Formats: sequence, structure tokens, C-alpha cells
Amino acid sequence: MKEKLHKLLHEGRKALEAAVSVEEIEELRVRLLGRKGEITNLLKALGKLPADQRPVVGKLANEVKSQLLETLEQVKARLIQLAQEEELASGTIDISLPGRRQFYGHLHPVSLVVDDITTIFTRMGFATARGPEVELDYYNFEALNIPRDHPARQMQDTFYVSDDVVLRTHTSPVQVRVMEKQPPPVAVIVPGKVYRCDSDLTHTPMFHQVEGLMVDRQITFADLKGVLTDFLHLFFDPRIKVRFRPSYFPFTEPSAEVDIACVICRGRGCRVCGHTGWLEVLGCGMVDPAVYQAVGYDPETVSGFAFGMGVERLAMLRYGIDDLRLFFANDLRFLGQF
Amino acid sequence: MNISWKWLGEFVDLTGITPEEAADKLTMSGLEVAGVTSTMAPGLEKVITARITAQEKHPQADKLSLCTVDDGRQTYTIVCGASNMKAGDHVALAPVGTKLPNGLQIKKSKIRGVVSAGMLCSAAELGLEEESTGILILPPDTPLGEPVFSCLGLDDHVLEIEITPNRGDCLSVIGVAREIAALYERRFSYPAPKVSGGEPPTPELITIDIEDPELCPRYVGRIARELVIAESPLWLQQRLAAAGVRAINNIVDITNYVMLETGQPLHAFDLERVRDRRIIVRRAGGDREFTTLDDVKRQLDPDTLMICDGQGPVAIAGIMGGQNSEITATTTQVLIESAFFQPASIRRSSRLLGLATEASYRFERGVDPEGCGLAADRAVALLVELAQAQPAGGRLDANPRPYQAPEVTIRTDYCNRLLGIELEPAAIENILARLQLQPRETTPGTFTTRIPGYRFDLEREADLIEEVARLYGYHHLPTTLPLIRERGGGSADDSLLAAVKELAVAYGYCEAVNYSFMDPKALDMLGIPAGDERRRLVQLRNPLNEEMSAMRTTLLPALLHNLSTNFRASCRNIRLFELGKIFIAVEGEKLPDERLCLAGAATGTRYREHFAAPEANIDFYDLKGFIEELAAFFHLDFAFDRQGIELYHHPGRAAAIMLGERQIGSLGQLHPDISDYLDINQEIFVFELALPSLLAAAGRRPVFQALPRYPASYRDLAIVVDRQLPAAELVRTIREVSKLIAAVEIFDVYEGNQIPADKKSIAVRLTFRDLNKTLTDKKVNAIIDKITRRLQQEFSGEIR
Repeated sequence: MKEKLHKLLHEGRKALEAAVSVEEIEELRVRLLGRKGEITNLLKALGKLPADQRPVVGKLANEVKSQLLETLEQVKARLIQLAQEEELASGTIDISLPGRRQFYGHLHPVSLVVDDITTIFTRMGFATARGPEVELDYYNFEALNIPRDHPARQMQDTFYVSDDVVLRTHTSPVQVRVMEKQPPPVAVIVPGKVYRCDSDLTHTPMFHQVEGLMVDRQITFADLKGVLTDFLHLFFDPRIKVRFRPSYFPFTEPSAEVDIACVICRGRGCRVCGHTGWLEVLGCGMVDPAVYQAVGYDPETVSGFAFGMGVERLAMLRYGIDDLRLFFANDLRFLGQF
Repeated sequence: MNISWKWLGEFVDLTGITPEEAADKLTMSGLEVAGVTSTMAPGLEKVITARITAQEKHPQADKLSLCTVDDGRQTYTIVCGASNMKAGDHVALAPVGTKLPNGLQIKKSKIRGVVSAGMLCSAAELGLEEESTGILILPPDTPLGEPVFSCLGLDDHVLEIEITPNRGDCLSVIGVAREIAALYERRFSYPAPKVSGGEPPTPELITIDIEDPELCPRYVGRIARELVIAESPLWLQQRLAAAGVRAINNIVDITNYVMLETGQPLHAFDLERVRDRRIIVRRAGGDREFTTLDDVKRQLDPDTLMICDGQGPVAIAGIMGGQNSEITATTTQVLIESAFFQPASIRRSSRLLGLATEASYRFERGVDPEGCGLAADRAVALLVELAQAQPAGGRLDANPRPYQAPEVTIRTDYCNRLLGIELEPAAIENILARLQLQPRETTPGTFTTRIPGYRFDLEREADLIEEVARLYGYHHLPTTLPLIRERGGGSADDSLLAAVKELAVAYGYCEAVNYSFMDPKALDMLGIPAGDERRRLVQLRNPLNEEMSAMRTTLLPALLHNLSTNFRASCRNIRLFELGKIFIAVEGEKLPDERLCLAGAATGTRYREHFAAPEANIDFYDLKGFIEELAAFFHLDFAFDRQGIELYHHPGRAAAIMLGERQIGSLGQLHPDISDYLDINQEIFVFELALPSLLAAAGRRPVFQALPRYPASYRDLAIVVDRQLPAAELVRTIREVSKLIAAVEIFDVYEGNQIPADKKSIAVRLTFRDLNKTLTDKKVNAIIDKITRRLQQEFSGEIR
């Protein structure tokens, strides 16, 4: 009996280890360990043994049974793993083939730059405002201290709709519209389209500006410098050199133009900056008393600043675009790059 | 304006200052210097002075001569083709190795058998004039062996200054010199020109009457006689050239020279052609036509200020002289006009005439009413010096509105408050004094200034504060951050619009930005009917061209143009959108209705090309899907209607987009005729919708719905109905049957030989849900029965 069990263990293990499929293992389980299997058969003979041998043989039979079971599980696990590995291997694909992409669009660089500018200023606390693009001469010029025969009108070639209606030449009329509507404090930026009667390599009849206006008690030129310097550092580079120099706009006094060190040559002088090392990026100044007069603010109690910048110019500098006209050609090879 | 550095040096001491340093300082104080260039082209420093010691004929060529020249160190043999020189003349020698501005490289060369060691240069070859007839003969006292340019005093620099419209006073050498003097705290001086004696007294030769003192507050006349018209000397020509003014003859050149120097435009009349020896300054009035000295007959506005003689106009005041009184080769006496005209009047006349000149440019910015006499004297002094003129005695000065210097006050505390600094009153006083504003401290810290005639821009306290700031230096002002007391941030509309753009981008559309202009003919191309509001155009008076002559009333023409140019660039899959304004003229209103619109155009395949992607082209339902997504984004329901589509649409594949009862736009396939017109052999789909009503109606914040606690039941149904029946009606009818139908989704539409030809089969998936309990099959089946009956009744629909 004992020998039979030893033999069963030995041969059972051999058979199990030789199995090559999970099905074969299952057959072996039935044959060896099943209800009508060999172990069961042997155990049926247990009753015929002398009583003193029964516990010893019984114990042995159980050991054989559990050892076979253990082997069976091991082999089975190995076979399952092998089968899976084989199946996975056969499912290998060429990962070098291109992925399946959706058509995904792109925002226009003007939108991207306007968004960036707007985000920087709204985080500082500026609100956004908008105004009409077909504008009264009054708002575009008169209220901004540019009377009809003022030489500054020559600075801006104007599209006329009628004697007193123009396409706005700048976003500045919105300054006046905002101040007419609300008392100080005011802190707004105004992104928008503007129009000038000019078309060549470096001018398009329509372009985009962002205007800014801040008026409150005790706003100083030093504040203007601070806000715009912060803006330029955030928009371009925190280390970029910024300089303010006097200039002229009829609706600010004192007025300034703001230059940054040329982003192309880093201030050494190149074609883009006209060999000066500087790029003009902003016009600004303290709001002129004449403008306060037009909107009924008292310049003795409030002060403030205004600024304006050309969006396409900033976009050209930021992305290295060298042809202004590309902005309005809407060529997908251009739009797809942003 | 281009200004000679040496010329500046005549009026302010420039010792120890380089042109580049001054340029930087001027730029940082408000006169932007765009560039500093040397008048001497590179290479010319090698051209030296020499003397011809001997001249003989070239042995092999009659027209050439052999010159022996001496530069003080050595002698050269030079072959020369000119004939205007003789032994003893001082000349400009370009030795071997010199490169001239015209690109000529001087090499040792054999000319007809004789070796030439260089070249004797003409003024043209040195870039000093445009054409020369012979070589340049230098003054006899010229030292030898020196660079020609420094000997002639021509080693100058030119500052290219961009003058802002408020600084008309700096459109002159003395203006810029004054500025440099103020910046460097040096003395500025303009020596009074010396004109001595003169007979007879000027009033005996001419009278001046100003009929319109408002437009002409001052008119100074001086007379020079017996003058000799000739070429101006080289130094004067050079200065004009540096300023970009062409030399003509000594008389004209002198008037230009004095204008450049003083900023006062002068006009020279041929005195003999001034009829009745009278000058009358008046408006044109009845005089309608006038021929200016450029031979152009010009139409006059009655209010244009004219200079007239006893018989009629002889010049358009401040703009251009007349042909009838201009200087000719035979002129011997001139009347020099040095006047002050009202800037706005000159600006207006110049604009009406479409004529801008160096003179009008200065007059409309304002010249110095206190400087008219000085400029006239300076011109006459130069005429005496350079044209051998005899001056008449004294000047005739009609000055009906003498200059009253305005007084402007500046308060130290206000100035400091505006600039954000703490300047001492003394510092402010110092700056004002440097600017010749004669500050007087009226109360402690408050200064009253006297504004000189040339500073038109200084009218108010703010103007003086700017002067303080710019001389103090903007770069020295502190940099601070204000406390912003506003809430700030973008508007709700801003974020909605940004999200709309992102949605379009996610649907594969690239954003286009087109000009807001439109060709009115585009409306015909699209078949926009007469009477449509898009025909109510805002038209430009001065468009760049006909194609850009109106403000757009639809975004589509430009997008279709973009589609076509991209298609021509071999792009086959194009999706473009634009978010921008259209402009509809409103009767009785000055300003149009500006309406924000969203439009798109698409053509090509639905999916990007991929080895394992289905091949399919964009169709109507792709666009409709986007529009539906847009509606969902706004928490709105759109309806789609066959009524209200456009002539530019394919009549069977387009729909009006309805928000409630209101049409807000349309979408659909472009009519094949228009695709042909655009030369695109693909189906094109377009949409356009107005955003304002959408923004107004947008449900801004979603309201949370509790998640269902009981499971849903699903059933599929296929219903055969008439081919013409809109599927939406079927869906609507089904939904009306029971509130327990939570969703009806169409998953298949079939037309074909399994069903009759005039029928279609629509397969729908129904979702049933009761929020309060689990639905039983029995209940669901009962609803299905009801649906079946209802469809049978309403559409003769059969369940397949």
C-alpha cells in the first residue's frame, strides 16, 4: 500500500510536470485526485488494512494527495502564465506607426497674445472694457484733445464714414466712454481692432491694440512705470531691460514711449531694432487734464495714466514673425504653428 | 529731421560731447534720434590733399594729361582725363588702395602705356554732388597731405531726429542746439546777423498790408538788390544735402538754409514781379485758381490765406509761392518774406490743397513769432555774403498782433504728486531756467514762467511738469506699484467667448482674423436679397480700394476667400472659424449696430488621414453637431428649420438655426455654383450665427440633477415611415407618449430595397426610467404599445 502511494506520487508528479496544457492538467486532476481517481481508489482499500496501519497509511495518503495538489497548482499556474505570454506576444503591434489624431484647431496668434496681455492685467486688478469700432469723431479725437486741425491727426491716417464718424484709429476712445460712465476709481484694459488708412509692408489697414487706463486719487508717473515694467517682465522675460523716454500724445501729459532691449540681438544692435538695441513696444503717459475736462473728472483730486500697445508687434517679437501681412492671410500653414 | 553736428556746434559748445552721446541724451529727453551717420563714406579718409606741380599732355592720348602731384611727402604721376586744372592747383588725390563711395577701387594701372599711381577726384566721385564737370579744385591755401574731408570741414555727422508734433521748435538747428544746451547746462547763443547800412530804406520800395491779422499776426519783409545768382558754395550745399534738401541756386539755397537753421520758413519773391510794389495778406475770397511754382494750377478755398500784390495772389501763404513771382535766372532784387501764420489755418489749407511742403510742415506746428526779424536779417546777411547783394535799409515789420508771452505756473507739490517724487523747489527752478522759461517764485514752491514764442506746447501746468520730468530724466523717476481699488477681471461674456473659441478649436477649426472690410459685390455673389439687413452697408469715404470699401455685414465672404487661398495652396482639409463683428447701418443713427458673430467654413475629410481611420468627408451633420454642442455649452436648445436658409445654400442641405422663435443664424452646404465659383471641387459647409442673443440667453450656471437611484430599461425600435418625414418629428412624437421615456436616440437610418422606395426606416434606442422605482417589463411593454399605436396613427409608421 505504501509503495503504491509512493509510486502514485512519483508517477503523478512526472505526469503533471510533463503536461503542456491546462486541459491536460485538468485531466490529470480528475485521474489522480478526482472522486474516482487513483488516490480515492487507494483510500477505498484503506479499510482492508490492519487497524494499526490505517492511521499511518491514511496520513501518508493525505500527504501524497496534498503534494500532488501542490505540484498540480504550480504546474497549472506556470502553464497559464505561458499561455498568456504567448497570447500577448502574438498580439504585438507596430508601435512605430503614427497615432490616430483628431483634427484640432488653433487660436490665432493675435488671440493668444491678447489673452496673455489681458490675463496679466486682470490679475493685477484691471477690468476689461470694450467700445465701438465705428466711432464718433468726438470720442476718437476731440475728447482726446485732438481738435480738427491738430497736427497729431496726421499721425493717424483716418478712415472716414462721414464728417463726424470714423473707424477708430486707436482704442483710446474707450477711455473716454468708460470715464463718462463711471466715477473714479477706474482700472480697465481695452483690447480691440483699430483702423488706419495705410497699407504696405509694415502697415495693415486694420490691426489690434490693447489700451489701458487707471485713474484714482494719488496715481503717479512712478506707478505707471511700475505697472508697465511689471507687465513687460511678465510678458517677455523677468530680466528684460525696460526704458521710458519722453514722447508726445495729445491725450497724455507727460507722455512716454517704452522700449525694451531688443529681443533679437539682446541690445547689441541688429536689423530688427534699427541698430539701436531697443524696441519700442508701448506708448503711455499721465492722462491729460483736457481729457478729464471732457469727462468731468477733477484733475486736482484724481490723477492717472493711460497706455496703449500694438498686439501684432508684440506677437511678432514674441514668436519671431517677420511679416505683418501673415496675420491676416489666414494661411493654415501659418495658423497651425501657434 | 536730419541735423548736422557741426552746424549745432555753431550755437552751443559741444566740446567733450560725441554725437553718439548727445543722440542718446536727446532720445532720453524726448527728441528721438533714429540714427547718427558720418557724412564721410568709409574709405574717404584715404583721399588726401595734394598740389599739381607739373602738367603735361599724355604722349599717347590727346584728351588725357599727365599730372605730377605732391602731397608734401612724395610725388605721384597721375593720368587724368579732366581739363579744368593747371599746375599749382590744389586737388583731391585718391592714392592706390582707396575705395570711393561709388564703389571704384583705385589700383595701380597702366593707361595708354603710362602707369597712374592714383586718381584726382571730382566732387561727384567724393559723393559731394550728383554730377561734376571736372575734378575738384581746392582753395589755394589748403595744407598738403591731409584728408580732404577734414580740410574742407566736411567730416561731419548727421543726427536723424524724429520730432513729435508738439516740438515744432526743434525742426531747426537752433531748436536742437537750445535743447542740447538745456540738457548739458551749456550756453546757447545765436549771434545777431550783421546787416549794416542799406539804401534806400525798405518802406520806400514796398508796402505791406495785413488784412487778416488773425491768420497772419506778423509779416516781416526785407529786400536785397543787385544780387548775382550763382551756385552756392560747397559748404552750404553740403549742409543742405545733409538735411536732405537739394541745392538749386544761392538765393533759393539761402532761404532753405535759414529755414533749416532757424526753423522760420522764408519765401523769396522777385521784387520786380511784385506788381504795384505792394504786399497784401488776405484770404483768397473770390480768387479761385492759382498756379504754384511747381507749375500746378490749384483750386483755392475762399478761406485759404494768400499773399497778394497790387493785382492778385503771388503765393499761398505758408505753403508755396506762385509761378508769377518766383525767382528766375534774371532776378536781381528779392523780397524776403519772414512771417508768422496761424498754425490751424495753414494746416487746414494744406489739407484742402493736398499740398504739404517743408514750409507748411513748420508753419502748421508753429514757428517763433518773436524770431521772424532775426531770420530775415540772417537771410539778407547771407545774400550780401554769398550773392553780392546790396541790402535795402532796415526791415518792414507788420506786427498787428505782437506776441504776448503767456505765463504758466507750476506748483512743486502738485508736480511731485503727479510724478511720484520729492523734488526740491530749487531743482524745479533750475530745470525751468535751463529751458529759458525765466521762472519766478511767486509763492514758496510755486513758479511762474514766461513762455518764449517758440514753445507752443507749453500752455498748462501739466506741460511744465512734463518739462521737469524729461529734463530730470524719466529713468531717474522711481518705479512703484499702485493699490488698485477695482475688482477687476474679465466680464462673463469674455469667458463665454473664450470658451466658444476653444470649442471651435476642439472641433478642428483654426481661428481666422480677417479685415473688417468687405467688397459690396460679395453680397451679390452670395445672393443676399435686396432689403436684407446685410445690404445696409456702412461705406467708407476713403477706402483703400473698392474691395475694401464697406464694413462687413457677414463674415462669410472673407472666410470663403481664405478657404479658396488655402485650397490653392494644396490644402484639402480646411476648417476655419472667425469670431468678430459685423456692422449694420441703422437709419437715423450715426453709429451702426455692431454685432458679434461666429462663422465657420469647412471642407475635406472628417478624420485626419490615418492608415486605420475610416474614410469619410465632412457633411451637414458634422456642422450641425458642432452647433448642437454650442447650444449645449450655453445650456440652450436650438431648433433647426428649413425655412430661412440662404440662396448660397444647397437647397436640400441647409437649416436655419432657431433660438425660440428667433432665427440667429444658419448652417448648411454651400451651393455647388459657389463652390465652382471658388474653384473648389469639394463640398463646402458653412455656418454663421449672431452671438448677442445667445450671450443674453445663456444659462450661465448648470443646476445639479440628482443621479438616478433606479436602473433604466432600454428598448430598440425600427419604424418605417415616409421618406419625407423629419426624424425630429418622430422623436418628438415618441417623447410625448410618456414621461417615463428619458431619452430617444436615433442609431440608424435605412433606405433601400428591403423597404418600399418612398419609405425609410429609422431605428431608435429608447431609454425608460422612473425616478422613484424600478420599471417592470410589463410597464415598458405597455408604453411601447402606446408608441406603436401613436406612430401608426400619426405617420402610418410600421414597426419593423
